[in-house]
Amino acid sequence: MPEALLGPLLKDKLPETVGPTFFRKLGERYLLTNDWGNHCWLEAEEFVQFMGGTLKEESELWHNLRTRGFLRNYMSFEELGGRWRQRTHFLQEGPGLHVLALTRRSRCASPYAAKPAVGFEDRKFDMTLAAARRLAKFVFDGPRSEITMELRGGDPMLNWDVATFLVRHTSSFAKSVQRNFRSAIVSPLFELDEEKIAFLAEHEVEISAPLDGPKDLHDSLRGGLEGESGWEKTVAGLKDLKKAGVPCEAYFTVTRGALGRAKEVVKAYRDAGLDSIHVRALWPVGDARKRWSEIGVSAQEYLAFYNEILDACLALEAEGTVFQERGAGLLLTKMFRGTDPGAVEHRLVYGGGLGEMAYDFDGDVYPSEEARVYSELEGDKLFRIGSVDRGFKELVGHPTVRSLAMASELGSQPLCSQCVYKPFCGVSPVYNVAAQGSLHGRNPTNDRCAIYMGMFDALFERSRDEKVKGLFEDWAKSGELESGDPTPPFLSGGLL
Amino acid sequence: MNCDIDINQQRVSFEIGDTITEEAVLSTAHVFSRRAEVWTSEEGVELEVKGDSKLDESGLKKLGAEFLEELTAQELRRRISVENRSVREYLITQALIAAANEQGQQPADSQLGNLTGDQEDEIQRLISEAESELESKAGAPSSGGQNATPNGKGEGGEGQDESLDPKAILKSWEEKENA
Repeated sequence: MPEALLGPLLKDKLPETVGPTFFRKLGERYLLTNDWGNHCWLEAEEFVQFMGGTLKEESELWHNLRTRGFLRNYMSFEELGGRWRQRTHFLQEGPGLHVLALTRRSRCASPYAAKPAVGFEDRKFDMTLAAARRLAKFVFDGPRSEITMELRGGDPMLNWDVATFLVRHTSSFAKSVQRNFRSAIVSPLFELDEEKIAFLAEHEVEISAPLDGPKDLHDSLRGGLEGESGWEKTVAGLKDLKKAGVPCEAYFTVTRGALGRAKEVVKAYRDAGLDSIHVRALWPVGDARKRWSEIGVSAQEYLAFYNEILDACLALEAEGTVFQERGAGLLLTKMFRGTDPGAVEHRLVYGGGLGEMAYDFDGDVYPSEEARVYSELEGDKLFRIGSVDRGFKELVGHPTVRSLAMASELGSQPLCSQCVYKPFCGVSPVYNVAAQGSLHGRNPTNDRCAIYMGMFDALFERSRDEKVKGLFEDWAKSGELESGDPTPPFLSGGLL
Repeated sequence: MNCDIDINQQRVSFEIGDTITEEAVLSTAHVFSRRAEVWTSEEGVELEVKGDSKLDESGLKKLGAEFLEELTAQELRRRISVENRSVREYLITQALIAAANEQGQQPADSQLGNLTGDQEDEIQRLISEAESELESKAGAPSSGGQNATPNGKGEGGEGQDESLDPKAILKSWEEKENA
C-alpha cells in the first residue's frame, strides 16, 4: 500500500540530498521532474531510498539524479540556471505572435457559432485597409526580432484585399527592418481559388483549416450556410494547397459526435493528404456552451478519445507513415528537448500580452486570440486592453495583462506549484473565466487541467516503451525552435 | 487503515498522525473537492461523499485509503518545497540576472528606433507605397466595401483622424468609453 510505503518517510526530516523535485506515481513507478525541465523514472523502492536518504552514492541511479539536478548537494547552479533560462527565454522577449481578425463574416458554421452573428454581406465587420496599415506597422513596435502574423476571422479570405495588403507590406517591412517574419491564415477555405492559391504560394503563407474528421461529423458542425457541404470545400481546398506547395495543416475540435471514431478521423485526415492532426478541446463558450449537453464532452471522454488518436498515430508511424499529433509534439518538445516550442498557453506565465497579441477587426487590442474570441462570442469585453494608439509599451504593461500574468504564474497556483507537470504546463486565465467564472482556476474541477494532466500521463507512460520514446523524440525535435525562428503559427489557445 | 465508516451518512473518518501538517490536509482536500467534502477536527479527518452515487463499505474504505495516500504525498511535496525554497529562488534569481545582463549586452539594432539611414528610407518608401495603394483602393470599390469612404479618401489618414475614423479606432479605449 503506497501510504504504508511512504508513511515512514514522514517520521524523519527530509534528507539534505533531496533537491527541488516534483513527483507523481504513474502505475507502479514514480515520475520525478524539476524546474529545470528534467525528468526521471524511479521504481517504488528507489523512490523510498531517494526520499529517505538511503540511496547508494555513486550508483547508476545516483549519477542519473545528480546530473539531472535532483540531488541538492550536487547541483550545478550555472548549468541548471542556463537550462532554466533556455526554457523561459520568452520572459525576456515581447510578443512575437500577432493574431489579426480580418472580419467577423463567414460562409460556414462552427461549434461556437451555429450561425455567424453577422450577415454575410455585412461588411462593416471587416477590418479596413486603414486599420490594417496601422497594425502592419504596430506589430514591429515591440522589441522582438521574430514576428509571426496570423490572420483569422470569421473567414479572413472574405476580406482578401486587406489580407493581401497585410501579407505583402508586412513581409516587405520585416525585410527592411531585418526581422524574421512568418505569415499564416486560418480559414475554412470556402473562398479559395487559383488566384488566392498562387498568392499564398508566392508569399509562403502557411494555412490551417478546421477539419472535424469524416464528412457527416464535419458537416454537422461546420456546414455551409446555404446548406452546402463544408467538408467538401475544406478538403478540396487542402488538396489544392498541397498540390501548389503551400504548407497547410488542419485542426480537429473534439465534440460528442467524435467519440469512438478516432480511427475514422485519422483516416479522413490521411485521405485529405495531411500528415498531422492538431486535436483541440471544445471550450464552453458561445453556442458551444448553450449546446454543451449535445456537443460537449467531459475531460474523461476527451482523454479516452485523445488516447485513441494517439494510438492511431503511433500505429501509422510504426508502419513507416509520418503522422503526428501536433499538440503532443508541442508538449514533447518541452518534455524531451528542454526548450520552449512557442505555444503561448504552455508557459510558466500565461503568454497573453507577453507572447501574443490579438487585434479585432475594429482595431481593438486583446492580450490573446482566445481572449478576443471570448469577447466576440460572449459579448464581454473584460480582456480588451485598448487600441494600438495606446502604444506598445502601455498595452504590454496594461493592468489586464498584469492581472493575467499574476493569475497564471504557476508557482503561486494551488496544486500547480507542486505538480509534476509544472515544468511543461501552463494555465489559461481566459479559459478559467469562460469555464469557472474566475481568472484563478479551481484545478480539481477544471477540465483543462484534467485534460493536460491526462495528456502528460499518456505521453510519459507511452514513452517508457523504447520504440515509442524514439518516435516521440523525433516529434519533439520537429517542434524545436532554432534561435531566430519566429513563433510557429496556430499554437495560440483554443476556440477554433 | 483504521477508519470509522457510516454507510447511511456516506462518511468515512480516520485519525491522522502529527507528522501531517494542516497545509497538507488542505491541499489534499482541494484535490478531493470533486469527490468529497472534507471536515477536519483535532482527532483527524472526516470525508463525506459528494453527489448522488452511494458507496458501499469497501467503496468508502477505498476512498479513505486514496485520501490517505494523497495526504502522505502532499506532505512530502510540502516538505520538499519548503526545504528547497532558498535553493530554487537563488538559482532562478541568478538565471534572471544573467538573462538581463545578456539583454543589456545585445546590440540595439533590432529596435525600430535605431535604424540605419537606408532602412529609414526603405520604410518611407514602403509607407508611401501603402498610402498610394490606399488611395487607389478608395477610388475604386473593392470587395472590402467599407474600406473606401464616400469622399474618395482612405480612412484614418494621418491628420484626418476625426472625420475619417467613424469607428473611433484611433481613439484610446478610455476616450471611447469616457472612462
